Amino acid sequence: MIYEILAFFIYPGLLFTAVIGMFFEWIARKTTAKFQHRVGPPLLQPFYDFVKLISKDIIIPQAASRSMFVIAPLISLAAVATVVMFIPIAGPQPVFGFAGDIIVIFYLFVMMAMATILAGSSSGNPFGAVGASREMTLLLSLELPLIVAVLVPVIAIGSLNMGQIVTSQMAGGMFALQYPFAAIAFILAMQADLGKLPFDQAEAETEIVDGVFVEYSGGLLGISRLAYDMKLFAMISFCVAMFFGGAVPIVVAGITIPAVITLLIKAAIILVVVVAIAGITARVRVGQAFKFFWAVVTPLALIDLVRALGLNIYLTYGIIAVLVAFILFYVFKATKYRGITKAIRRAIDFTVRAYTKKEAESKGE
Amino acid sequence: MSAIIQYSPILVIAIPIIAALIAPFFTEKTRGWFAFLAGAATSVVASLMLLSYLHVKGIASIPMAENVFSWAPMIYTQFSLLVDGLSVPMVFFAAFVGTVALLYSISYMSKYKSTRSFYSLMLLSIGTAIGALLSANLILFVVFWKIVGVTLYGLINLGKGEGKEKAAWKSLMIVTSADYAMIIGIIVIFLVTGTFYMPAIAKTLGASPVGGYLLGAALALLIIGPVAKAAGIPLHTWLPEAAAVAPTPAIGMLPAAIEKLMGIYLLTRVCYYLFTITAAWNIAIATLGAITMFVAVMMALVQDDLKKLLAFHAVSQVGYMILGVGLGIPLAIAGGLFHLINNATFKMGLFFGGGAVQYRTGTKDLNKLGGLARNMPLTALFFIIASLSISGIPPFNGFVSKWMIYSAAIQTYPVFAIIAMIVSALTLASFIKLIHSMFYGPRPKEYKDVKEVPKTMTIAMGILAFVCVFFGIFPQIPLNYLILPCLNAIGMTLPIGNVPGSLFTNIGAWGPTPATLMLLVGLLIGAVIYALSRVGITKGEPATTYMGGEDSPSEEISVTSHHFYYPVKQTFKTPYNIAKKGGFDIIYRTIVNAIVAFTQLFRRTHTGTLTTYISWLIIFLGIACYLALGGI
Repeated sequence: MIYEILAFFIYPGLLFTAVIGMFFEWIARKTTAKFQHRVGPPLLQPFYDFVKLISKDIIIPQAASRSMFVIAPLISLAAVATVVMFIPIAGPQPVFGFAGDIIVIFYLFVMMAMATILAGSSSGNPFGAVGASREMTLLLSLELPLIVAVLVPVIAIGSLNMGQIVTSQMAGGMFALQYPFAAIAFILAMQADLGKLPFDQAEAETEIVDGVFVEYSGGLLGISRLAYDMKLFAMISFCVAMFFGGAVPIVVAGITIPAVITLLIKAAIILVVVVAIAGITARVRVGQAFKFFWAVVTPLALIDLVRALGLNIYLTYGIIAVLVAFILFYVFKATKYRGITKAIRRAIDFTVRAYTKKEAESKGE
Repeated sequence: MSAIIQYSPILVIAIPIIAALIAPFFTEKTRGWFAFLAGAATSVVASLMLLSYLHVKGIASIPMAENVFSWAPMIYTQFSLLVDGLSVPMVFFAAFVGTVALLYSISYMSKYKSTRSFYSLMLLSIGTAIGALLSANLILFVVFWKIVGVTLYGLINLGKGEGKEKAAWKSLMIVTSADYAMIIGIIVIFLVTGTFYMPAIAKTLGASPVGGYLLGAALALLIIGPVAKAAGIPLHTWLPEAAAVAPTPAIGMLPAAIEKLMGIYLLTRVCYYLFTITAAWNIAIATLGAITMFVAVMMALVQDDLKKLLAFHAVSQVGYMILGVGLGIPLAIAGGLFHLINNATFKMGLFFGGGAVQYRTGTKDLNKLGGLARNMPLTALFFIIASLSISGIPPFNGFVSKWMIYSAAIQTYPVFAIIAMIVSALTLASFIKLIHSMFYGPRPKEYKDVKEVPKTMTIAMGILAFVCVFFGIFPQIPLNYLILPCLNAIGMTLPIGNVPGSLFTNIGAWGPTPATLMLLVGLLIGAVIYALSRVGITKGEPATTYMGGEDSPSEEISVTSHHFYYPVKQTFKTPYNIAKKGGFDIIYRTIVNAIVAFTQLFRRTHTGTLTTYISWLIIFLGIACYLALGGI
């Protein structure tokens, strides 16, 4: 009992997640800065930002609905503080493994996104409303591949228990090696869930002035950003636990690296991958993101789902062939390579005309 | 007291029906309260029945038990009531839900000219629905079932709106045609088993898995009836049209709660009590549920009419129930039945919240509403609780039943789990749009002085929201007292381990108590940080909305519900266009055309000339005399 309470507040709960979350935010900002040939902020910058925001005044606009405006960031914080109790961080078993399985984790993340959307909606600002609408559309688009990708390891081992997924990877190798497409789909969906480029339409600074959080200031904005940092850590830890082995102790050259350090190393690597993708892409439209997730990323994850289901082998490869054809067709159509057909037709036309012209010339002459 | 309990099955049917007959004799003002009291009396008797049933039978796992109450046997059909685990909890919940609806309608119907027929129809529908749930005889069942359909027709006709006759007619047409299919199925069962008495049929047919074309056809016909009544695809088109015009308490109670109760009750009875279905039937029914879920929620995403949107969601939630009941394993059936009960609470809460907004503002067009959260805080709170429940967000009751269905689907056919989870996200999307359009967003000037709704309506919505929260945080209580008897009646047990505070299936766990505690503590910590940040800050002047330096935004700069999901509308342009032109009405139109063509054939005999009619009479009299006098 005492252990659980301490675990919730200090390690691996609230305090630990907050500190590591801020550390991850620093890694993200520093890496982005290096991509852009800048120096980047010092290590404690996220902490300085948080303290600064708490010390500033909270301005609640007249048009906002006070109660929801204030409660929404609190709900985000509560949801992420709860979800880290169900993710394996300190070891292969999560702290409250008997109280929450993968579906619970999944829906707590949805709850966080929902709190963000309600925050934007209740701020009374049209920019906030547009941000809320975009964030919801983005959530719709990323849920489908996320569901499929999350179900792949679940079906592979037949259990929704987070601890069992980590322990089975200890024995059988990382799921990312067995089911790479699902891992890629998960990382792409995670990119959108974390609101990183190319999927940051909800907080498109250049278009809708911070979108959902436009009217937030002071302590409420600090709580929102703290919740976001914690979500960064929680979501990447979830990804590592599902596909990359999770928090397991590793023995390297006689030294046992504790589980949590392994988790942090793996999570930092995934974070750098996410930030790298963000650093080299530009923002897409929300409709394009919707079509991309539903037409490309979902079939990609479905390929691995079909393999994990273990159906009749002909059926499996048949369905995989159909999915691959669908992806290629969509990519072909979307990237406007229909210029290829046009070029082919022009070439034929040119040849035909040249041939008939030669004939006409020879006849005319 | 013991007499009440002994006769409670009869009482619980008789009280509402007798009250329905008496209700028109009251004055306008007192009629509502009388109806509510009658409903409350029914609920009390129903809860006594439930408690005595549980006390007698115990809530441990027991084999199939039945308790038949036989009275006044008539030819071939006995008025016999089947009080077993599947019917008693459903009756209790139907009575409870009906009472809350009557409480709500006390104030709501004050805007209608005359409520003389309304309360009678409501009470009659509650009484006959309970009768249908309790009947042990298939003929009796059909009689009660049909009366509910007719009361639905009457209630829709009481609404305000242009299309109400058409909507009422359409609902009667679809539901009644499906009922005729059901009757043919019942006749086939009679031909095979020789009885209409349900426990006897269960002994003969339920012993072995259903096989053979005749029984298979009977089963299929018997499934069409409940699917139409509960408004599953493709027989759902009547519900949105009816919801747009009927009075809110009627729509909240009947299609959203009671008819689904009856429909899914019959589905469970037919599939697991009367027959024993095979895996092929499981896949077929589950696929029907999955299609219903998905198509209905995609339709709901683009609606601009408040009631129609809620009606499409009612169709979508029926998909969850059909999926749960169809998957076949006990966890799935328990999830489907629990979702049935949960749906009654949050769907009614949603319809009542929408009705409250309509009551005060007079419109249900989402593009015109907005910003009402400051005017109607309680309505907004209860509506948001119900919306979070229907979207399956922890720790509310919708999450528990959906979690059970997901776990069951992952164990059997994971494809259905994917569809179910994405439909949940789409449901959340639709309700975010609804909440934003109704309660947040800019408030039009004409709604500046909108007040909160009268207390009876608020109390009704509050009761439903409380049940949502209560069933979410303590799901063991409804699971053990309401769902376990249902499963026992069809010979299964509840595969959920019972550690205090947590639910365990064989593949996952959900502990509402620790999770809720953690969420509350997290909220508290956030509130502490918020309070800390306000230390020493004096209140400045109120701030205007930030528009990048421009003036305050006018009402036109807003994200209306029409454009909320523009990308989704664009992606699925073709299906939406087909649906808008009435693509789903194919079955309805075919039936209507067939009936019209059939009656046109006989129209020619009505020539209007007296001599033609007399000649027909003489001819047939001649034939009759010839036969009577010993002809062939």
